[in-house]
Amino acid sequence: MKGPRIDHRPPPLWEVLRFEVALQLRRPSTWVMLGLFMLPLVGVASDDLVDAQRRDVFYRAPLFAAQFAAVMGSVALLILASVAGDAATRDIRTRIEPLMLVAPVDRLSYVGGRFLGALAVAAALLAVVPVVHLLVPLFRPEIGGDVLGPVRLASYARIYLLILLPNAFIATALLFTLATAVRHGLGSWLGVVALFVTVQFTQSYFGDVLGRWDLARALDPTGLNALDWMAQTWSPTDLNERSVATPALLWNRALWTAVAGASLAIGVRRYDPGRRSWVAAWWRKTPLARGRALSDVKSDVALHPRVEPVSSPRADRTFDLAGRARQFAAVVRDSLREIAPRWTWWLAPLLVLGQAAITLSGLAGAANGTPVLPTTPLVLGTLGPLAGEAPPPVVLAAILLPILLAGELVWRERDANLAALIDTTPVPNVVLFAGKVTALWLVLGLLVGLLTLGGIGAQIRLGWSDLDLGLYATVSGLRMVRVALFGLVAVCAHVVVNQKHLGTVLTLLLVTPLIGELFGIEHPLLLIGWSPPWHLSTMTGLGPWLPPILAFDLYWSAGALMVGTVAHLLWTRGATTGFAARLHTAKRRLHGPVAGILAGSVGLVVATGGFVFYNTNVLNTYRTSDETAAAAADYERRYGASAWAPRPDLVATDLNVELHPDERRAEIAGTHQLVNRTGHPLDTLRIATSPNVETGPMEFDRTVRLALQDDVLGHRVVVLEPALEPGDSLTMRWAVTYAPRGFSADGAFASVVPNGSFIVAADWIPQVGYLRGRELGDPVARREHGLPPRRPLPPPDDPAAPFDRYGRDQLRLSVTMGTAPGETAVAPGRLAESWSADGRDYFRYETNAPVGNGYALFSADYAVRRGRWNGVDIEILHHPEHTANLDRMMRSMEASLAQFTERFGPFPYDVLKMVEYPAEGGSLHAASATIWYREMFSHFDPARDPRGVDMPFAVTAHEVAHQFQPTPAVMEGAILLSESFAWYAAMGVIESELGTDQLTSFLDYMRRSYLTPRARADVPLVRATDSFQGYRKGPFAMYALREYVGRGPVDAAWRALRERYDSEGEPPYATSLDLVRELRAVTPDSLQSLIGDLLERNTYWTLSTTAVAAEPEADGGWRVDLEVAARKVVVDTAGIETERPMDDLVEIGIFGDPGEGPPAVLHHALHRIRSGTQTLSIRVPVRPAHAGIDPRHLLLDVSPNDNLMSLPAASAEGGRP
Amino acid sequence: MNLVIRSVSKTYGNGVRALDDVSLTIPPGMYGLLGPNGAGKSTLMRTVATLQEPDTGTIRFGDIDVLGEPRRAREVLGYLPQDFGLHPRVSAEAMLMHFAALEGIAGRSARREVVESLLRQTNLWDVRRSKLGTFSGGMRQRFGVAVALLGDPRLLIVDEPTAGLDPAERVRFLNLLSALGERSVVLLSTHIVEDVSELCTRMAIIHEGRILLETEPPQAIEALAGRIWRRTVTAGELERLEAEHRVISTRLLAGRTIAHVHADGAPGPNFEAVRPDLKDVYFSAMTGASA
Repeated sequence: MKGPRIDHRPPPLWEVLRFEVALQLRRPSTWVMLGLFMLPLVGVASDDLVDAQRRDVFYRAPLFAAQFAAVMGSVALLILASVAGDAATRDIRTRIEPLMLVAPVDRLSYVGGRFLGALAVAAALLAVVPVVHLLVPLFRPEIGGDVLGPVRLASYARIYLLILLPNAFIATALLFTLATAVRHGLGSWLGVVALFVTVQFTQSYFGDVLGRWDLARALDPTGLNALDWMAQTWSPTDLNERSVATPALLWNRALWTAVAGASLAIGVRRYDPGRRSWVAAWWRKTPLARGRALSDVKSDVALHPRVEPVSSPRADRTFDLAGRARQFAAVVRDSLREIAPRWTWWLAPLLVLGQAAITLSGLAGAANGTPVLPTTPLVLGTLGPLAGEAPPPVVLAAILLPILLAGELVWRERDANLAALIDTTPVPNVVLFAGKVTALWLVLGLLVGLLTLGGIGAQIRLGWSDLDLGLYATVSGLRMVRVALFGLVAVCAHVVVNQKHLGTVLTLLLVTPLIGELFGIEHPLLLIGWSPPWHLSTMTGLGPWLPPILAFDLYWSAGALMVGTVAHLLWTRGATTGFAARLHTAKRRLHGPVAGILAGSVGLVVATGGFVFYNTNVLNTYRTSDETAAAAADYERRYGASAWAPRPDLVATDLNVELHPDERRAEIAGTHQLVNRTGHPLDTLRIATSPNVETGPMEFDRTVRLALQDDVLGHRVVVLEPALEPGDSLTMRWAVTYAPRGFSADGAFASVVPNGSFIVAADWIPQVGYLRGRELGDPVARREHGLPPRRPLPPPDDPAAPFDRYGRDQLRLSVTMGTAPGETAVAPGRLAESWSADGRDYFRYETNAPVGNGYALFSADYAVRRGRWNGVDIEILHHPEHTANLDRMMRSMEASLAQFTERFGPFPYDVLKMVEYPAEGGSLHAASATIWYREMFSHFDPARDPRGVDMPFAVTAHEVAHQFQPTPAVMEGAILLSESFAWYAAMGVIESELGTDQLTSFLDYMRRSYLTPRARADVPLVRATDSFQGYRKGPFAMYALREYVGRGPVDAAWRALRERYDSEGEPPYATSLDLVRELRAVTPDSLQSLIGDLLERNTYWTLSTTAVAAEPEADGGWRVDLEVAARKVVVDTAGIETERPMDDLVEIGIFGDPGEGPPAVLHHALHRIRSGTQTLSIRVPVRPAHAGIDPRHLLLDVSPNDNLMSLPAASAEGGRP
Repeated sequence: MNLVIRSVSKTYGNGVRALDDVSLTIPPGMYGLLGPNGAGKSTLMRTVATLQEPDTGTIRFGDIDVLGEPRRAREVLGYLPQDFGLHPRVSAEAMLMHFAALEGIAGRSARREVVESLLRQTNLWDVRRSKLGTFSGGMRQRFGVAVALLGDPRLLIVDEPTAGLDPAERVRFLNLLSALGERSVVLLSTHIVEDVSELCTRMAIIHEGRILLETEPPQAIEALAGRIWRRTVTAGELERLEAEHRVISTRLLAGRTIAHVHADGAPGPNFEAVRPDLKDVYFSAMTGASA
C-alpha cells in the first residue's frame, strides 16, 4: 500500500503557536469573556470621563490613562487565568497528551508554542484596553474637549508597551507556569489570587506600614503602586504632560519581566509530559508526604483467573427519606474529598495563626496607628467588613477561592469522566445538588469558624479575658448567612452556565457591585447579598439593627431557595448539556413537590421582598442618588435666590424634648428667639425644616402670614406684617415629631434607641434661613442637574466673607428632656433640675453663656466621672464599662482648662462635658461646652502604643483647645484657625503635663504623615482647606514659630485674635490673614520673613550637613567645622518651583556623646544661613559626637535624614553621615 | 422481565440520524448489540441507561417506563460506559463504598459486605486500598463492573467493554459477564464479533441507526449454511469479482486476497464452500445480503 509521503521534520514552534491561537479563538468562552470584560472596561472608562470633570487633569493625561490600563490589566487577570490555564492543561484534561508525547515535537516547541499562543491571545485582549479608552469619549459627546485633553497616540503606544504588554507577559508566564506545575487549571487561578494578594501586601505593608514606598513600587507585579505614587506626588502640570516612563516604572517592569521569564524557563525545563506534576513529585519527596505516596501502577499477575459464577450480592436497598439521607451524606463526603482533601488540614492552623496576626496588627493600629483594647466588638471588626452590598474589591482574592471551589464541585464528576457512572445511580438531582452545596457550606463555615478562632486567639494572646462568645456566635452567624448565600450563588451560576471559566467570571460579576454600578441599579432589593449598614456597639447592642438585617436575610434566603430550586432543575445529568435541552428537561422535572417548593419559594421571595419594599418604598420615601441630587438641585433653584438674604439672628432656644427610646420616637417642642441685627427692617423670614422629622405649624408672637410651605424640600417663607425693625426680636414656637416607620433603604433608624440616643439638634429642628449646606457640592452632579458651578470658598482677603453670619449663631440654650426611666438625658449646660413624672425621668439644662448652633442631645444609661476646675464642673458621661481612659481624659481636661485659660483667655462656660455615644470609630467632635466621642475612643490603649504617645490625653487636650479658638470666618484658611490651633495649643499641655519626651514622640508621630507620597504643589497655609494642612502642616508651622519666636508671643497673638474676633459671636470673624497680622505684631524683624515662608508661601527647604570635623584646642575645648548646604524653593499650585535666595536663621546643633542618657547639647543656636554651601566654625567645651543643621526639623525639608552627621568617636578627623 | 424498545429515533443537532426507528425486545440473558463504530450503539445504550432522551419512541423494562421514570429505572440499572474515569486519588474501596451508598444500600456493615464481595469477585480485593489512579486498564474495567453490579441490577448495560483489553483480561472479563446473564437482562454492545459469538444468546446488528438483523447466533449461522463461498484472488481480479458477485468480506493472507461471497449456489469454479461463522453473518447483514 502506498501512502502519501510524510515529511518527518518536526513541526516548528510556529505551528504549535498558530494551532493554540486558533483553538483559543474557537473557544466560545474566550469571546464571552471578552464581552464580559467590555463591561468594566467601558464602565470604568466612563467613570473616569465623568471624574475628569471634577479635576484639573485631563481624561487622556498620560498617567491617568496608564492607571486605567493597569487597573484593567488586573481585572483582565481573571480572563488571562482562563486563557493561560487552558493552554497549559488542555492536553492533560482532554487526555490527548499521550498522543502529543509520541508526536515528533520537542519540548520547547510544544510548551513554548503553547505559551506564546496564550501570550498572543492575552496581548491582543489587552490591546482592547487603550482602544476602548480612546473610543469611549465618542459616545459621550456632551463632555467637552477641555476635559479630554489632546490625543497623543505615542502616549497610548507607550502605555501599551510599558504597562499592558509586560503585564500580559508577566501574568501569562506566571499563570501558565503554575498551571503546568500542578497540571491543573486551578493552578493559574491560585496564581491570580497570589497576584492580587501581592499587590495588596506590597502597598499596605511596604508602603503604609514601613514607609518604604521604593520597595512597594518595585515589588508590585502590576505596576499599579508605581503609578499611584506618581499620581500622588506629581503636580497638575506633570499629570497632564509628563510621560509615565519614569525610572521607578521601568525598574518595576524590568524586574517582573525577568521574574516571569525565569519562572517560565523553570516551568518549561521542569515540564515532564505525561507524568504527574513536578510540584506533586517534589511534595512526595518531603518528609510530610512520606508513606502517603501513590504506589506505582499495579500489574495484575494472575494470568489464569478463576472462573466462578459471579453474583451481585443482594442487600437491602431503600429509597425512603433515610435512604436519601444516606445518599446525601455520601455526596457530602465525596464532595469534601474534592474541596477539602486531607492535605488542606495543614492550612487550618495557618489560617488561625494568619487571622490572629491580622487581628493583632489591626488592633495595634486601629485608629490611625493607635492601638486599641481587644474588646470583642473591635476584634470582630478586624475579621472583615460587617455589611455592605457585597465584599469590596480588596477582598476579591479571598472570595475568589470559594467561587473556584464551587466550580470544582459542580464539575467534579465530569472532570474525572465518571459522570456516566454517577448519573445512572438512583440518586435524585436534588440530593446531588444539595450535597455539593452543603459540602461547600461546610468548608466556608469552617473557614469563618477558623478565622473567628484566630480573632479569639489574638484576644487571648493580649490577655483579654472578657470573651463575648455569644456575640462571636451571633456575628459569625450573620456573616455565615452571607457567605452561604455567596457559595450558593456560585454553585448555581456554575450549574446554569455549564462552562467552568464562564461560571467563575459570571459569579464574580454577580457578587461584586460592578453590575449594579454599571447599570445604575441602586435599590438594595436588586443588589445580591446586600445588607443594611450596622455596627457593633456595646451600648446599644445589635437590637436596633437586627430587624432590617433579618428582613434582608430572609429575603435573600428565599431568593436562594428559589434560585437553588431552578438551578437544580437545570442540573446537567447525562448527555444533555445544551441549555435549551436542559430547560426542556427542567420543565419536565418541574412537578409534584419540586413545583410546590418552587412556587413556595417564589411566594416567599414575593412576601419577604414585598415586606422589604413596603418598608423602604411605602413606609419611607425611596430616592435614588440621582433623585436625591435632583431634590437638592431643586432646593437650590427654587430658594437659592435667598441664600444671602438678610435674616434675623437666633439668640435663644428653649427645647422640650420627649424621648421614647423603647418606641424609637421623639417629640421636640421649642421656641426660638430671633433678633434683627441687620440694621434694616426685615419683612420676610425663611425657615428650613428637616426631612428627618415632621414639622408642625409654627406660632409667632406677632402677626405673620405663611407665604409658602414646602414640606418636600423643607422650606417655609413667613411674611412679617409689619416688618421686624432693627433691634426688635420675635419668638417662634414650633414642634417636630420623629416617628420613623419600619426601616428605609439605608437600614435601621437608630437615632433614638434604648441606651444610645444621639441627636444633632440642627438635623431636626427648624433652622433660620436658606441652608447652603443642602446644596449639591459635586461639580459633575451640578452640571448634570443644570446648576452653575458652585461659588468657590472665598479667598482669605475677601472683604465680605468675614461678615457672613451663616452658621455662626450663638444662642442661649435651655433644654428640658424626658427619657426612659433609668437613662440620663444630656444636653449642653448645667443640670438645673431633674425629676420623675409619669414613670419617666426628666432633666433640665441651662447654659450660662451662648453656645454655637451645632449642639447635640443624648440619652443613655450613663455613668459619670466628675471633676472640677476653678468653678467649672467637668463631667465625663460614659458607658459604665468603658472606664479604661477616664483618668487620662479627666487629667487632660483639667490641665487643659488650667493652661488654656492662662494662655488664651477665659473659658466662658460653667460646665464642660465629654459624652460617649454609640457610633463606629473612635473620633471626637467638639461643640460649645460639650465634646462627644465614639465608643472606640474609650478603648484606646496607650500602654501598648509603640510610639509612646498618650493619644487619649493628647486628643482630649486638642478637643478642649477648640473651646478657646477664635471664631473663624467661612473661607480659605479657616482650618488653620481651628485644627492647627487646637494641636498647637495641645502641644503645650502635652509638654507640661507629660514631659518633653512625650512631646517629641508626639511630634515624631505627627511627622509620619510626611512619609506618605504627596505632591509638593499646594496652596500656602493661609489658604489651607484640606486636613493634611490643617492637622499636620499647620501645627508644625505653629510649632516652628513657637521655637523661633517663643511660646509667650505666639500665645499672645492667638489671645489677641480671640479677643478681637470672638466678642459675643458678632462679625467680623477671624481670617487667616488676621492671624498673620497678629503674629507679625509679636515677631522681631529678624524673623518676619519666616512667617511669610511658613504661612504665606508654600516653602520647602533643602538643608543638609555635608561635612563635619572637630579638632581639640589648647584650652581643652573643641573646634567644630561644619559644612552645610542650604536651598529654599517656593512651589505653586501647578508645581512650578521657584528658588528663593536664602538668608534665614536656622538652628545649628552640636551634641555630645549620648552615653546612656539623652545627648548633651553642646551648642544650640540660630545661625544665619545663605543659599549654597558654607562652613561654620563653632567652639564647644567637650568632644562632640553629632552635629548638624536644623536638628529639630523646624523647617519643612523633604529629606530630613541628612541634617545631622556623626563624628568619629576615636579620631577627630572628618565625619561620616 | 423483558427490555422492550419501541420505535426509538434520535437525530442529533448536526443532522446525524443516530437511531432510526429502533425496536427490540430483549429477554433476560446476554444480548449482543453488534455494529461498526458510529452505528448508533452508544446512543442506544445511553438512551436505555437514562443518560439521554430520544426524539420519539418508548423504552420499557418490565413495568418501568424507562424514559418517563428514569429514577425508578436507575434503581434496577447497572451501567458500564464505554469510556470512564475514576478519581485517581481515591482508593478502590472508598470509591465503591461511595457508590454503594448512592445505590441506596442500607447500613454501613451491609455496604461493607457488598463491597467486599464485589471486590473479591472482580479480583480487586488485594488492591482495594490502592488509589484508582494506579490501576491498569483491565483493573479499571473490572472496577467498573463492580460498580455496575452494585445494587443487584436487573438490567445491565455494558458498552464496548473489551475495547483495549489484553487477551487475558478480555477472557476474564467475558467470564465475569457471562456469569451475570443468568438472572438479568445484559445488553452488551461491541464491534468485536467474537464477543458476541462467545457469550450471547441473542443478538442484533445495528448499522447507521437501524437494526439490520435480530436473531440468535446459532440460528443465524444455520441460516447461512451453504451460502458462503470462498475464493483466493489477485488484486486485479477483485474488482471484477465485486462487480459480478456479492462479496461480503475480503482479507489479506500472505499477499493474496481471500474473498467471501454470499450466494445461494456455487458462484463458479475456483470457489469453495465455507462453513459460515458469525462474522459471515455480520458481514452479510452489513452488505445487505439477506440472511
